[in-house]
Amino acid sequence: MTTPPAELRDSDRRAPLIVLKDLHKRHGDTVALRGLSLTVPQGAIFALLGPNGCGKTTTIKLLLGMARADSGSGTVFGLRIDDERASVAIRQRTGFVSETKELFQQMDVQATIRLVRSFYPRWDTALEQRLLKEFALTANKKTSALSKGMRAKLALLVACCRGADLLVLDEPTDGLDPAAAEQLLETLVSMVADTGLTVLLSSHQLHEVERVADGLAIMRDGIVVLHGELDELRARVRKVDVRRSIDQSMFDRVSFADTTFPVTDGTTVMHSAMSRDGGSVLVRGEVDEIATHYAALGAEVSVHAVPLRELFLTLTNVHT
Amino acid sequence: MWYKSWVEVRWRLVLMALLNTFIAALLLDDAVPAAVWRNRLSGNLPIVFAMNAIVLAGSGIASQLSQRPGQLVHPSMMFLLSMPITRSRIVLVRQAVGAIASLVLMLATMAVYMAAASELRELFTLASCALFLSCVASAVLVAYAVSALLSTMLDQLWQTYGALALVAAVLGGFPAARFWSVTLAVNTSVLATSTNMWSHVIAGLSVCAASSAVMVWLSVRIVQRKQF
Repeated sequence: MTTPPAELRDSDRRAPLIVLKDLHKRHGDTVALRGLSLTVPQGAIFALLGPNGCGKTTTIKLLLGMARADSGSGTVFGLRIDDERASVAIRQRTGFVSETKELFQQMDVQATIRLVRSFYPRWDTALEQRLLKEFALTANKKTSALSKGMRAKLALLVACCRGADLLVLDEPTDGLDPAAAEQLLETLVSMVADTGLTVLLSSHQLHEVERVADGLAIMRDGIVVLHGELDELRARVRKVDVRRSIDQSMFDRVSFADTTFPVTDGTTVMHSAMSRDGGSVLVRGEVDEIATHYAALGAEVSVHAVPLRELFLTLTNVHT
Repeated sequence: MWYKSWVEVRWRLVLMALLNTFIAALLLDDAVPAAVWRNRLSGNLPIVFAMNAIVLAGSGIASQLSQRPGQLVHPSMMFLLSMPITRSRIVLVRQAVGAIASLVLMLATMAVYMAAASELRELFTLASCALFLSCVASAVLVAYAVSALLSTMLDQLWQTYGALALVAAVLGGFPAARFWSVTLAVNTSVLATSTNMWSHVIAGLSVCAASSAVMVWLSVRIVQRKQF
């Protein structure tokens, strides 16, 4: 059983830049979003995680005005995402790299840069020159002739140099070699530190997310199932493993699945899989009472921190 | 956006210029009487110009999207839509560039005919030629608007087929299309022998302009409401 998360807690300390409330979206018979709520704080690298088809790209399309929600509301920079003029203003302050690293196919590298630059008065020419050199992009090469990795680099360059307040990056390191991916992540971190930029990062690279993200949301089936600051999650998310003690007498045995464990205020049970002889409980908050409860029933109980990968797999039901 | 639209249009323009050159080479090859030139100008050229317009109107924003099995989403769709520009501007700039290219191609082609065929220069004054071109341009504008409208609903290939079929049906003279604006404008040009020429010309131009405007407006509305 997975319980939707409580509202964002520690992230509230920063002013929210993106606020999405109860968004619903259907594509024909497919439900893409079913009540998605999300808050992304300003000046942070925020990761949007989830398995394929969970609604990440739909969420990004709604943010950028490429699609409209069936119901619900959302703002970016305080501007409504469903208003066309406001959407233009949002895009004026936003850099975007799509999952497929789309670019204008008929143009060369230089023309692509020139075209995108013409839309953004705050274009960072120094950063453009630096990234052109670091990414080893050839100015007169057609974008259609670029390899996937080079296309990714160009897409990132034109997203990063526009002096945006928000970068929306869908799988930004996909197609990049490890050195280039490392370079990109360093660039992002330094841009956030130097300029107060906000980055919304959709990624499957959990190790990269763990390294650079300040906050994250895990999505499944069109809703957010976990939402918070990474440090807070590291400190407060715990897994309680329960196993029947081999010393327990046959007559004392109760089914762990039939008992209800206590949950203190402010604690969320994110996932629970308990059978007759044991199982685990994934908790955000206090675990002492739960551990004591099962210990009192004669179980061997261990409590441990949960790596992001395990958290992701558990919450997205890939593996329980 | 003008540059981006020009990049989309330029190869189509080259292709159509080559096609027009090929057709001109065939038509200008022999010396023919004035009556034959009349037929060529009123019959062949509007079809050639309409074909030019249909091709030049293609590759609009919506025709770049196809999600049928085996086909990929055009790799610039999301990039284009992420730019700080309204969809109506994207559509209108693209349509304007294509329309200008059509007009330039039409003028250049006509100039080539006039320069190359001395019979034509003897047959028509500059003013009558300009009037003929105005009538044909307004009819071609309809073909262009049809193609642009279809490009907001169909993918590139079907948009071209659809527009060609529609225009061919009209120009080919389906009975129901006899009163359609294209036929009206072309047939009431200076090359026609109608006694009520001017009233027909004005009516034809008005119908063409109005129907084109409606189709352009529809194209903009469709793209504005489209979900990508």
